[in-house]
Amino acid sequence: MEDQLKGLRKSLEKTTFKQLDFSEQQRKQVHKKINKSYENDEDIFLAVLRLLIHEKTGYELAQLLRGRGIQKFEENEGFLYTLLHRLEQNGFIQSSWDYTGAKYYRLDNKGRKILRKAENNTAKKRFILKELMQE
Amino acid sequence: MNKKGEDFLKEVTNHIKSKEAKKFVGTELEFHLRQAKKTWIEKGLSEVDAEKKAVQEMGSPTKLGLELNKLHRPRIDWLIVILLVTAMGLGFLPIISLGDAGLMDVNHFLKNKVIFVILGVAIALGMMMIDYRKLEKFGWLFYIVGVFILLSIHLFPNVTVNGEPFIKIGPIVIECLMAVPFFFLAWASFFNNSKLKVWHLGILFLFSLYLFLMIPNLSTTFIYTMMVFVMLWWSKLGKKKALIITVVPICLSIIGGLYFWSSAEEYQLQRILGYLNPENYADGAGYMYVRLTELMSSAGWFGISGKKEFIPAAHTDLVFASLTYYYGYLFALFLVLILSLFVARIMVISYKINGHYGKLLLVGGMTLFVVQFIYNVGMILGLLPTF
Repeated sequence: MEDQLKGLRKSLEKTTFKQLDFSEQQRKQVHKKINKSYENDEDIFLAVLRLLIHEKTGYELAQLLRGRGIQKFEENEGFLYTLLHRLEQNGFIQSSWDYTGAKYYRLDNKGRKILRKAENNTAKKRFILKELMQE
Repeated sequence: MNKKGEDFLKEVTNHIKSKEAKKFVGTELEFHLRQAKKTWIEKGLSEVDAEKKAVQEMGSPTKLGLELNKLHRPRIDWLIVILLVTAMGLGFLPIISLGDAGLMDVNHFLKNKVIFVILGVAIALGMMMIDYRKLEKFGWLFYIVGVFILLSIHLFPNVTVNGEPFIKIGPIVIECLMAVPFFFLAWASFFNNSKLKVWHLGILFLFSLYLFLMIPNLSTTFIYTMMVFVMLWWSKLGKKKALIITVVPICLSIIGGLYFWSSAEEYQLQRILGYLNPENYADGAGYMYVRLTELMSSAGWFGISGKKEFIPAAHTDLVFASLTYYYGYLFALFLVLILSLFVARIMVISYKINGHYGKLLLVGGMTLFVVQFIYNVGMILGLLPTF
């Protein structure tokens, strides 16, 4: 059986998958995707909330998240802004603009409350943080 | 920003429909790209490469634009729409029931009602289209329009009903209640304007109050005063000043009330005593209260059946009483539920909304609604005096 499967794979490589070739870049991207899936969303939300205890711009936040080894926003920093805008719409964070065109985000009361709840109750963390992303 | 960056921003904002969101998303992302580019240049990349890298780090502009569009598209509050349609539909009931009882000319009132419903729908649709924040600039204009309406009713009335003047132009009757929405918009602007001092606001209020009292229409004056004082608490003046400004007139009016009691005419005292103790004044000032109690107790859960009695002002001031009388307590509870849901919804929105002007509009609008609603129900239950 083992040998038969190996034979099948070999013959497929010669026929069906002959055209299929991964470039170096594609190979990297696949590996990155695989690694990314190990991070779970709750940890990312929690990190974002903790970082926003003090006022930050989206750019600063992206740098700090990367510093913490979170890869979800790598080559996808735009997604950080959808996350921030949704959190703002749901009333967890508030924002303010300065004259240079920088938009600063900061935890609101509701956000502080949910952060405290999630930190104190790790078992229900997933359930608590789900509220953050409600449409 | 060079071509790469500009292309990216254009692609993102192209997918966003809301003009306002287009602008702030563009500014925010441009700031991000500028910062990222700076960092890459510091790390030794050329300007072109740094920008390319910064854009690449952002990910797909199409996907981002689509997702941001989903977040920022204008949404319709279907609950409010359903409530509005229901309330407007229920508004036809008094006319139909009174028509059935043969107590009024249905065609005339139905035509009027249809005109007002169409006007209401048009205004609601219009308000959905415009950005309410643009109205803030026109506070003074609204104040002047309000003053103009009151002055014209005072100076050039051509109809007088129960001592109250009106202007009647063809089928349209202009009454002082119509000035209230304009003053409402004016106060939302004034209270959000930190340049206006307490004494400015005081003069503006006293002048408008004086005009309302000149007409005179007590219930409208009361509604207007309540609205201004409730909005005051959400104004830029702060709660402390609001407390002082609220307490002083209350004290003054209590003193005024006591003075009034000692110097009141016999008929005025009668009206107050009739409210406090209707049974003893059943054929005079207490008549309305006794009559209302009788009508209400005869209604039962499902309304009156058989011969229907006449209720004065059944489709206007006493509309809640007449509806309870015709359709019963169960229907009255349903009506109260629908109208309370409006209030609950507005409260929820006022917590969610960003911006002070919007909050002031919601609070003021809610007061206008709640005061009339509570007064109507309270009057029928005998808790509040009839005018």
